[in-house]
Amino acid sequence: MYVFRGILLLLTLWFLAVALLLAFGESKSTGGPLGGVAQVYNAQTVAETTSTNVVAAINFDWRAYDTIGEASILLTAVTGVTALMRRYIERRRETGAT
Amino acid sequence: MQQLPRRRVQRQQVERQAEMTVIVRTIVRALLPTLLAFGIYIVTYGHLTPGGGFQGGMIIVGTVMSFYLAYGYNIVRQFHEEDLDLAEHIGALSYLFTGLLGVVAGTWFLTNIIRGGTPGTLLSGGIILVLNFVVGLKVASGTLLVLLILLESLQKGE
Amino acid sequence: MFAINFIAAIVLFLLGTYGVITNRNVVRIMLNLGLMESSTYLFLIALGYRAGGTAPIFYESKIVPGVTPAVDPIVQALALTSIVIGVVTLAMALSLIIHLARHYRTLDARRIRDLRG
Repeated sequence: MYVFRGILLLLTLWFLAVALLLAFGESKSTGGPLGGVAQVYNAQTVAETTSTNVVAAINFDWRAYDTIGEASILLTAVTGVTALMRRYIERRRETGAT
Repeated sequence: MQQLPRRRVQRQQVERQAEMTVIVRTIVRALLPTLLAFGIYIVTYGHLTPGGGFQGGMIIVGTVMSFYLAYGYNIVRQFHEEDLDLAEHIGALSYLFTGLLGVVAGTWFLTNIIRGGTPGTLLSGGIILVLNFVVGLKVASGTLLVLLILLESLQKGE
Repeated sequence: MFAINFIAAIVLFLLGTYGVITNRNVVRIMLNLGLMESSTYLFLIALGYRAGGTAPIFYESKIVPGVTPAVDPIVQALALTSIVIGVVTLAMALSLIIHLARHYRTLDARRIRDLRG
């Protein structure tokens, strides 16, 4: 029975490996120049935003909406952990044991 | 009555065992200003060299956590939950108000309204400088709050 | 031999999958999930490479934006966001594991299956 489980695990991993290799085979080649929006960001960031770090300028200037969404994700996670652990913290502060 | 002194001795032994050796404690104490200055440098120069708010905030959290690893839980007990919570909420609201400055000035939400400044100096980048500080404060206080809550709920009772 | 990056990302992903399927300890399952997320960061950053390009930081005056070839900066910003999301997921999962450990008094994933009242 455990042999059957082992064979099934190996078949799953083999199928995943073949699928991922096929997906990698269709990626763009690294020879040509950058196209699309990345070329515009690289060429015009220093002139327009006067900051020399293009990655930080993408995060905070060109696409600042995504960073406000990410900051709200952090806020939600901290609220969630506080809400889940509220019972243990209060009981520990009152009596000294959980 | 016979069990009470033995339990107290065992508790003291557990608390002393949580500390590391004197070499680790001395090095962590000596490196504290350097690590804090490094974290604040990564946050401040985020618009010039690789770095920014998220990376610098995590470095500051790593500094405080290295103190926890070297000294045990008693040294991070001084952080109150309400202060860290207040700091994180101040950071989140500052991001929102920095974005609303753009609406007040006439253009859209979160536009770069601070112009002027030569690329390569510290006072360049416009709104990116302000947002780096805000996000650094938010990430540092939020991650520290989560870690301290998880650590406090795992301590044995006294 | 640039394809070694993609092959390393695939191998890390498969190792993480094997760990998630096989382990019994719940904390080890979360660690292997983090390993799978790390493999996707490596894959993303390896996608943005251009031959002969440099980092997209134009701090030195020798590197002129628009003339000097640089690698893709958008993918790096996406990986930064993904790292933060991974940290958030791990924090929520750990607090849920603490609840599980108190209630069931075990960390074995095969014993946490009965619905107790």
